Amino acid sequence: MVCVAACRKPTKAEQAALAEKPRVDATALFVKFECTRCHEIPNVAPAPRDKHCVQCHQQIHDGTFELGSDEVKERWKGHIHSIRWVPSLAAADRLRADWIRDFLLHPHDVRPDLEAEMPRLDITRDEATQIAAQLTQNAESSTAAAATESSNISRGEDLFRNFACGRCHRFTGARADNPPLTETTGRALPLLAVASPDDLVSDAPRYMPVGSETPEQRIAANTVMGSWALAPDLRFARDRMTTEAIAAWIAAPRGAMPSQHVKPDDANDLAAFIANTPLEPTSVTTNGRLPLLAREVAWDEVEQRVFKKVCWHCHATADYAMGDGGPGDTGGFGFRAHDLDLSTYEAISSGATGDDGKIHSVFQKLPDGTPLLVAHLIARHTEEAGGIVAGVRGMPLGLPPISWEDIQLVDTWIAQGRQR
Amino acid sequence: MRRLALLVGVLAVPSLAFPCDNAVSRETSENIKLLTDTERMIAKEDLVSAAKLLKKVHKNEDSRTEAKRQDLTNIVTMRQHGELDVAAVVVFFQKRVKQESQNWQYKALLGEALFEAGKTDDAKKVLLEVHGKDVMPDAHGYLALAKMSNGDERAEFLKACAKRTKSKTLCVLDGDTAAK
Repeated sequence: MVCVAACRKPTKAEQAALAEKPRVDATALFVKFECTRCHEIPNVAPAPRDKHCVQCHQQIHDGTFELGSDEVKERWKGHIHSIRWVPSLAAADRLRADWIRDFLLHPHDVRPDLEAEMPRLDITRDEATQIAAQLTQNAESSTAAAATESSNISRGEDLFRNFACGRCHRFTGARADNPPLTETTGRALPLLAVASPDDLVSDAPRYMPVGSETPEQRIAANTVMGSWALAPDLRFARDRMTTEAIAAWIAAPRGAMPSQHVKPDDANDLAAFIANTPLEPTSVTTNGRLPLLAREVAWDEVEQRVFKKVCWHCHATADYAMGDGGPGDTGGFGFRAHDLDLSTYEAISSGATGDDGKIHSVFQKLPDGTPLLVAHLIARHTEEAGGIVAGVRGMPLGLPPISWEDIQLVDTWIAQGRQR
Repeated sequence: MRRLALLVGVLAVPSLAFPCDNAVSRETSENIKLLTDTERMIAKEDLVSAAKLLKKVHKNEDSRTEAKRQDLTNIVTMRQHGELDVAAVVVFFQKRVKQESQNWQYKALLGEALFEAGKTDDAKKVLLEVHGKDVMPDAHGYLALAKMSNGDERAEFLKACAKRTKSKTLCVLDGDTAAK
């Protein structure tokens, strides 16, 4: 009976209403937030190569970047750990619009093996709603009924294990989560037969039994694609998608998710399991701030371990970058210029422009005595754990938090008077 | 013909600007390498080497690096206390402060230049403003403030000066010891 109601064809009036639904155009927002510097977005021009984070990182990693000597490029290659793979937004129409909106407002770590995360933008609810609407406007309403009987869920769990979904996907909090499988038995395995991105959408079988791969195959699979890192933690699937959308995706995945040739009935049961299996709550530990060091800390050490390792990518010297000092200096990703250059002692000592348009020291103390710069570094740990610190954006933006030991180093350097 | 070549050089399409150019351009552009090496020499208080490097920097390669070249030239000139036209350096940094009001490095450099020009009242006013916001970029502003102060205040400025340099002698004035 449910199926009869759900599967009926839309009436002419409904079809007309759908046809008249105004198209959302959030292109201006994609431009404002520079989404194409990382993401592929249907019908939106990609960022130029010199602004494209992913292309640059891939080229440096592959050795095809045209600038720099071989020695320099080899050294840079060793620095490239993140932003080589980023989810394509061509498949974002599988997601719930309200989840996309909330995720843009409060991003969190959905993909545990991807070092970089969605940055916490300075975005309004209205802007996030518009972007979510455009990304999902081509979504087809699923007419399949959701299977939520306990028998389906139980069978879905068996299928989850048989298909070895845990090779790529974490499912934190679920009984089926299997970190050792995910981490050690080779996320490369499901992709071993992948020779090119085109193969990801072909019908060629690519499942290989555990242990049958050669080390070369494993390395090749990781090197060529490494897209296993895009596999989301399935804990969030029930928030991100409807059960029907999960089933449809499993049966006919797109993009980085390889087809496992799952039959529709199996896909329904897998979706039922993913969407309904009980989850343990996650533990949130964010305060690991260490006491100040007893030894002396000078600029060279702080610069090498922190500022020149990560920070100066976005807080650069505009004069050396044709005027583009990065999002944290001359502005970008929707942020206005904050004039914060973290590439030299002189620059970091000269402060930044606050939201009030006035210059402020980045070492100024907050009411609890924490220097502002340190508060930003600590806030990133809170964000990584799913929280938000009001008024303080976590840094480094969209990247893993700086270790507590490195924060301790910065903290000590500031407390000691910032010795050159 | 030379003029035409120069014109073509000036109008040439600028090189790509990579967002993480701190890493890219500093290792791929000869001119930027020279400029950053000059900055390192200035930070080490090795002004002779800085001046030598500056002579190798191409002029007018592009507007941004040219601006940087001029900044560094004026800093080196000011700190070498040589055949300097201090008045011109003051005018230069006054112009920079006007152009980039949010860059307080220029304000500190203006204070330093005013001090070198003997305009101590103006210098003190500017440098105390920079100090009050805790945005002094390097040791020299505090050195100037120390030279214009006495007693505990002078000692405090010398201490702040010493924190901001690797030089063991820069912040030691007659009869004073720089405490780190």
